[in-house]
Amino acid sequence: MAELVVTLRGDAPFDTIGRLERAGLKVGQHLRELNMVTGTSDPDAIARLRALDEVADVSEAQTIQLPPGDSAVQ
Amino acid sequence: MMPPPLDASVDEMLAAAAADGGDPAAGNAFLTGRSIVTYARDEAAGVARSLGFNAGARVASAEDFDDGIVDFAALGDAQSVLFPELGVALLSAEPEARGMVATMAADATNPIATIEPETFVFPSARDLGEYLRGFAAASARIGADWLDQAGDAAAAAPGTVDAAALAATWGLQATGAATNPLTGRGIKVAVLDTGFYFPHPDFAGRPVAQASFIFGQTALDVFGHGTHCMGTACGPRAPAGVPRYGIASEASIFVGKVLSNTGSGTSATVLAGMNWAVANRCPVISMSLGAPGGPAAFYTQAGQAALNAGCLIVAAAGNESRRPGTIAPTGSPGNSPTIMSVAAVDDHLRIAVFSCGGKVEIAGPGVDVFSSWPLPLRYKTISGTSMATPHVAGIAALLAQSSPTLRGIALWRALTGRTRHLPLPASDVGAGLVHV
Repeated sequence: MAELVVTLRGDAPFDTIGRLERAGLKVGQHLRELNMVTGTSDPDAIARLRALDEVADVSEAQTIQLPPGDSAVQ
Repeated sequence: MMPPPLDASVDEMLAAAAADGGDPAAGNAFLTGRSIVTYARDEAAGVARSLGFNAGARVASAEDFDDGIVDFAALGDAQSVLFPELGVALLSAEPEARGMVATMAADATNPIATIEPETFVFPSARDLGEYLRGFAAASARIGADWLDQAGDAAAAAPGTVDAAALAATWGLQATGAATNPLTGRGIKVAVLDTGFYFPHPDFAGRPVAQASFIFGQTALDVFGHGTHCMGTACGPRAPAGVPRYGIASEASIFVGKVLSNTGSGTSATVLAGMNWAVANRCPVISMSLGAPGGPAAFYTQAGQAALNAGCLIVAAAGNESRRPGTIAPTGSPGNSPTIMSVAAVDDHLRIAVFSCGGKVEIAGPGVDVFSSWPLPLRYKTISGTSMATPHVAGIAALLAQSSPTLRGIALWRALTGRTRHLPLPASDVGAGLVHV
């Protein structure tokens, strides 16, 4: 499963979440202020998600890791 | 280190502290490893239930003993003992349980008021204050040297160095924050990081809004990074016994935990925190985090959404350079065009050897930065573009306080339009050193 960030277009229709789910996205959060949806999907669903009119971008989430707590540079 | 049990002798605890490498200069050698909890005196029953549930094992009470005289050797497997007459409890709990108690202490509706480390008491005055005074003197000397070298027209003339400025860290002096009367009052500042150590005494009484986007973890910072960043952005104007290290001392604090207790997260946790901060209309959102890689479309859109809502996001450029040989590119999310990227300079206003370059808007003090840290250490001096970023956030809050029109892109322009010029490439420091 890939952890995804789906960026929506500004004019995304009301039932966008349902369309994302039907395309294979297991919705985690709908970030309304940012007009995005996070979630997970099988890799083969990414192309279906990208094909939706209301979707501007589908990207895999990045992993962030701080240096160890005792590192002098943070 | 496991905390000593309640029936440990003082000699045993001293031996354990010494074996653990306790450092008197850092105050560590004075700590037993156990904790002292204070609570509302008439709430002993509720506190006993809370400690028993959250800190584990059995809770004893001085009331269990004749005349209230506690026999520590008879406490058995108890991990805490209440002193109901005092509203105080002694707690022997591992770090996770201490963190849970600290979370309760941060909740104004919980009868537990504070949790602090238990310290050894010596008959003669072994004074930690001596160390702190030494630190303050050294900081003042560094500050005076810097002012002389930088030729600051406002402050470097002989005899005009502001005494108050000398009681601040070099970063606050270099940016003008030390002598500026603005406090960030009324401005919401969100720091999206590893959380915040709510019981820190320098923040006692400060209202804090908090949210955790890490499943199963509270917003309490057990890593330290978030507490350090918050200290620089929003720390107090006059902390006791140490130089001033915080900029927006009256800003409204918003703590978003987007990195776990081990310092890790994903874009999803960061975006969730950004969404929360924007929904709360925080004019300043500070993100001392990132990852190598090109600009991400989602961060670019998130930054634009934030700007449209009057929220400015500042983010660390990254620490992957090894100058002068290698200059690594600014990481994500700082490399998104809608997010202000912050580089780090040292106290001689040279680019930090680790500071990433390329897409950089502004620079901040990011080498040997003194700020708050979870107890028992309380303070720590570290380096990084993570430390430069909250300097920009704090000063952004001061500017936002100065005018309600300075929001979003207008605040961005105000910050980059009033920097101190540095004789360095824009790809390294952008418009220059942030200045209020």
